Amino acid sequence: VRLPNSERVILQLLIGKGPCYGLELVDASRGVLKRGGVYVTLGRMEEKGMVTSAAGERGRRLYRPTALGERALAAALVFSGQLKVKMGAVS
Amino acid sequence: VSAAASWLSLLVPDPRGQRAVEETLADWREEVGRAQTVGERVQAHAHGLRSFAYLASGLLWDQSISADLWRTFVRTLAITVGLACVLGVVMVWMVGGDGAFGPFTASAYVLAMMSGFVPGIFGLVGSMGAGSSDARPGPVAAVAGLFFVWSAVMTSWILPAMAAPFLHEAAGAYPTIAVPRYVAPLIVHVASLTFASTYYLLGATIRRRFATRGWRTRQTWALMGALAIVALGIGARLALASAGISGPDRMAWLDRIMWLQLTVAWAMIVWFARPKAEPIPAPLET
Repeated sequence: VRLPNSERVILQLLIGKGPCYGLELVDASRGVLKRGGVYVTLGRMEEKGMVTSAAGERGRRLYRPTALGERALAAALVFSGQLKVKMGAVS
Repeated sequence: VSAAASWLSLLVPDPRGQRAVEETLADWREEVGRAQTVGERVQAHAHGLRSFAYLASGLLWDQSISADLWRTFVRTLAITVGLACVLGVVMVWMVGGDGAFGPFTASAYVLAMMSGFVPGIFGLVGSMGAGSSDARPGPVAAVAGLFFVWSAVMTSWILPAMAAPFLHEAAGAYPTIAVPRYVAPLIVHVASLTFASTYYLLGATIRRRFATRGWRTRQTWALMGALAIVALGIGARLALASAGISGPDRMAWLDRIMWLQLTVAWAMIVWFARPKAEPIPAPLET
């Protein structure tokens, strides 16, 4: 499961907080997501079908996760959890 | 802000990038609208400018060139530089009679620079995808053979005839290769080394662009793209020869032609690498 860190953070925030604007995601990410750059990532994720968006207030778009996004995040978290367990076993 | 938006929409042709620009502008407007003091307004504009810096870098990375193409470019560049180093050393050894190895004499440098045409041939073959999974060994080997014959003809008859005045002019342009004076030709030399990688990358982006077409169409277009750059260089050099420019001016013009070729090649790469304006697919249903 190949989920870049920025995409994982976006999915975690959208699932945890509910539908958000891009700027809200940036503020909530504590520096992980960058202003402006977040829309490039969101556009890419929408193309992959991980998030969906609808027109919001004053020209902004409201993003929400799709079922595919939720599954991708769950799979990524399971994978990283298993990796941590295996790394712990090796060390 | 609206003027900036219209300019940016011209610069960012694909709809996904345009939407990112619009949303960044909307955030900017929102923050400026919320600001109540001069200080807050200045801060909002600073945030807006910073957003665009991040947006521009994100768009460049995400849309112009994808990561695997960058890897292809860097890998080919490493091979080309290695090859050019070997060829350069061989060339310096061949002309060892007319000067010391370090710092390079002008003629040794020029000959080493000429060796760039050999990596260029590799680049042309690379533009057809030699070494990549979608290349068929037979036709690529045939093209490689054809270019080998062409390079043999070049080295046997054409290059020696071209080299004599070129060497003389180069010696006039760079009579002593002191370190500061060597910097400019070094930059040109390094840029010339990127040609093979550029051809390779151009071929890869063109073949990707025509992914839905047949293999022959893809390879033909890829090769045509690289040959168009070669033809541009040859045409410009012929025009230069007919203009009767000589001496250091001629050297400067040759450098400009090289930069022109690289610029056109990179413009083509960016053009072919940009995503097609396709509708964003609907998300999967739960």
